[in-house]
Amino acid sequence: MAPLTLRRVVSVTLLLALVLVGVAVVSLRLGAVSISTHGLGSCLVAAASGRTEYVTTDCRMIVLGLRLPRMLLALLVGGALSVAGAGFQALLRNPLADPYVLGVSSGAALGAIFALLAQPRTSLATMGAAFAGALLTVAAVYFLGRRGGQLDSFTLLLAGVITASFFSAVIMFLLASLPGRDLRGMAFWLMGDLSSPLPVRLAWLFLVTLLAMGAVYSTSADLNLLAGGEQEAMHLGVNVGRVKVVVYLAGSLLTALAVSVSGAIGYIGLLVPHVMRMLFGSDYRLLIPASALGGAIALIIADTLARTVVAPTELPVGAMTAIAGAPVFIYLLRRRMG
Amino acid sequence: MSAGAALTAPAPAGQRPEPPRLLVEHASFAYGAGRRTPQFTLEPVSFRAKRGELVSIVGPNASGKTTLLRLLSGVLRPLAGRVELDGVEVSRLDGRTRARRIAVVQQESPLVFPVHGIEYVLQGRYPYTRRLHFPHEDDLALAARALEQVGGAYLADRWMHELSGGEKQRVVLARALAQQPLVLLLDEPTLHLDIAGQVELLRQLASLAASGQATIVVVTHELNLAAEFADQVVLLSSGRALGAGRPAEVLEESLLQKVFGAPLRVELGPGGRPRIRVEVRPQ
Repeated sequence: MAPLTLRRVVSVTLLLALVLVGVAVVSLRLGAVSISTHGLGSCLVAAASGRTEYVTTDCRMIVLGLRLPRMLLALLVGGALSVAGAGFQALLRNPLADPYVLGVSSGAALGAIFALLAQPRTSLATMGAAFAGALLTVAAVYFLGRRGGQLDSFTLLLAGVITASFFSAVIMFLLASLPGRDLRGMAFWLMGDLSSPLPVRLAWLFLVTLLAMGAVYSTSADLNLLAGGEQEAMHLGVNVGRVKVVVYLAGSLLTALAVSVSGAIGYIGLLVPHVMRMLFGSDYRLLIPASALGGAIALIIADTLARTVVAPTELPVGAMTAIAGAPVFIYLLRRRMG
Repeated sequence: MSAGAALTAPAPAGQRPEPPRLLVEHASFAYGAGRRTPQFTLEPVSFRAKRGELVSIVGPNASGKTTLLRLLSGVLRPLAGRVELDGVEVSRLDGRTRARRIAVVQQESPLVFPVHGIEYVLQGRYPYTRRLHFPHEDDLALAARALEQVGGAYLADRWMHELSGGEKQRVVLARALAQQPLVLLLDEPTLHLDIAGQVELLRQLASLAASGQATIVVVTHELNLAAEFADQVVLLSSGRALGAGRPAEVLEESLLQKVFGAPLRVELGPGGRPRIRVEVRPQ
């Protein structure tokens, strides 16, 4: 196999972008009311050109009002969680690292809940608190996961799982004992749900997410070497300290953004980078864009299933990702131990 | 006893002769230096190596071999004394510059994600490339040549985690060569090799050094390989340098017996190189 070239990065990225468009179209069409491709096309064209007064009710209420924002949110959250997962995997030198498994998502959720309990409630404060929660959790898990000064793979995972379960318990305690005050349900914070997002401007969310992804991408050549050990990376000229700080901050920020708008959706950050590695190799210069797009594709599919398989009831999307992700996690864990 | 003991003050700039490639002058180190009792101390070590020399660091476990190697690589800064490469202190070089001048082959560190042999070797070009480090054609050619040089051309498309210990060691060495270093440091590279692999590796290192490509410093437990292939030997014991110089001067019978606490006999083989054997008599 030839070493990675820029051409390959571009062609794989374009291919995945095409798949993403296809999946998005299917997702917008499916639901209690199905929309024809033609109807969807004219609806989106009319909306894009600002002539919303001429569109059908289905278009305005269902496509533009419900499905499109939800689909865009899934796209954003899926990409963010996958890139965060891929980043943490290199940072912690552990292919099983993932914001959910490590408890980072729960830490962010706890931070967000604290911010929502305080006054005044702003989405910026919620996200800031989620970011702080994520940062503290990664730091805690990193130090708990060390044995004899070295990061130990299984100690790290155990530390993450225990942290996650502890935070989940605190979240349940808070939600159960404090007056409701529109904090959303346990299913939202513990499993993740895309049906009732935080009222934030999507464009703003997109911008910050892309910036954080860009920060992770700028270190991708360094991450390739960091995955082979910190000492070795240092000997090859990598500024290990800087790379670790960038990935730690950007990964925590991506997790916090995702969690504050959609709760703690699990396993996307584990599953997607793993599948992308199997398909396209483990070079981070390709893995990061592939994970961003792959994560968007995966979460759109998962959310479409979540709102259609047991219709008219909706499942939280985290239930779908856990059903797919937990067995894969067990499989990978067993293979590593064997 | 240390080789650098007779150093004179440096001549004024301009008249100064070319500095030695590697100069270690009273370099010492202590882990946990701030505490009342440091965990481990490496007492001042001195030696110097010319371009193209092969230096071997030997000694029992916990004698400070790896610490000395880390001082040479610049990741540790000596507590006192100096470690210089071509007259420049190595711990002051920035990471990329250092990686272009010094390559390190560490004891095994497991890979987390699968990579191919050639991709691994290309990592050695990292300090020479910019931004996202997509390799230039020259880098690819250099990596291929480095693999060829260690007899590993056939390993380019193989997965690293599927290679035998010897094959893996070759790819790791090729990556170090792809760095085009002035100094190549190896920490017990023979650890997971069988005897044929050990001889083969040392032969390669000796010929690399002899071709003038790099000055090589290798930490090893194999006294006979050090005696056979090294131009200089540095003998360490519990953090002290007990000798630095030609193998025949340093690997001396009574000294080795004391340091290793084992019944060792030293004979001079043809070419004046010492040969060490274990003499066990029935009790």
